[in-house]
Amino acid sequence: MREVLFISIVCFFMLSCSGEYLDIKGMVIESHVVPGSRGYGFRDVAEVRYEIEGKIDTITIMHTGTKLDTGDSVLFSLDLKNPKESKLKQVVYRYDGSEAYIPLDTSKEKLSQYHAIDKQPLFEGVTNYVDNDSVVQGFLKEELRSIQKTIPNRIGLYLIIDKDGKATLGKVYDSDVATEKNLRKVIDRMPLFEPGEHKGKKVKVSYLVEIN
Amino acid sequence: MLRVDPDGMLDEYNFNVDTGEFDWISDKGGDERQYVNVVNNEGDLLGEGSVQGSEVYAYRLRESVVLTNFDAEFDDRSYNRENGYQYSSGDFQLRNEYRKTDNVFGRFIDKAEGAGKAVPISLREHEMKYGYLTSRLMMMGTAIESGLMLADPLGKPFSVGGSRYFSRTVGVSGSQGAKALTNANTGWNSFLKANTGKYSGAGWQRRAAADYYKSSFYKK
Repeated sequence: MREVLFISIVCFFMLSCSGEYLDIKGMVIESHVVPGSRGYGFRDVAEVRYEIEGKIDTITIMHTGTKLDTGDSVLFSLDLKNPKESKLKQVVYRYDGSEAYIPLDTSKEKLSQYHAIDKQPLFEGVTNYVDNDSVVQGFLKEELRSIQKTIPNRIGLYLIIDKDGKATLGKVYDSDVATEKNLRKVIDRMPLFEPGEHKGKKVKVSYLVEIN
Repeated sequence: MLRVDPDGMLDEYNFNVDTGEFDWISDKGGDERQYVNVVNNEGDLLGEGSVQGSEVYAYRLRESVVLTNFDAEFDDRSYNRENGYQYSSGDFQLRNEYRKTDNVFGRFIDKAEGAGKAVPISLREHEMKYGYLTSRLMMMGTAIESGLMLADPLGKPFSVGGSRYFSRTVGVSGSQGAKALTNANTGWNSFLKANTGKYSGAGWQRRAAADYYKSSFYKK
């Protein structure tokens, strides 16, 4: 009986100590180098802002293990039971655009690259894919201008075009929050593309568009 | 792997992780931004990213491809040819940070990569590979080994005081011993003496070290 009780207590203790983690993206809003424990060495501490279930929150990561700067985009493991134990996983994108880390996740939904397939998707009125760039850019620019007065000088965005030709917005570069929000609206009501094909089958395609 | 875009014409690339090939596909981005799509032989898109500027370098790591707009002086085809250890992104970030400073750990990393025997650099990677206690014992061993293997080219004490991570632990208790061992490294000193005046300017230590390892002064 004692043994059972002892094992139960140990199991309970171990379970209560094990963290539940959630991988979250965030942005560094402040970082410092501070003396390590008992005055030995140094450690990097960062304040990270992140969004969880639609709410903005911040967390202090006590030992990032690498130098971070304000504005760096990071991926960290949030310890739900003990947030102080949350750990940095990796830098995703440096604030100055000097480094970008592209995780190779083969488990996610299959996506084809626009230039690596047999037949590129075609936008409304386009018969040759080389004309997509100017026509799609023109459409997005015009629609965006009808919503907001000024637009950034150069926006890079990935359109994800599914097997039915419906476009959605992927990653966006060199934009601001308001423009990105308006871009989503514009793309949501964009006419359908003629879907892309590879090896005789319709495929979901990622297509880089530039607005300048 | 490098692509330079001096005229604003080469801007979007496909980087094939199966072949290591880097193909230009469009001129989007000007000379302000370089876009890279990571693909495989099937044409599947595995990820995409971009860096600012007119240059882009791509390096294959364990679970990711990293893009930089500076030359990280990293050969992803040979750094682990002997032991197969693949850097994580954490390893790569710390590696670059150490190499920016002129300290013994940066030189140790250079030497390990040159020999094709890359080692875990990030503490987290070290713990995952070897366990908590073993990783710490090994790191102590690595620090001592670094002191034994690498000499300061100028014959000065090791400049570990400049390291943000090891300054207290090594700088306080280990620098005297390291200095003595530095002076004992006659091969490197003899090589420098024999090549007086040959090396100068930024990065001369690295060039000299590369020649040293190929020379008869270097004994394995």
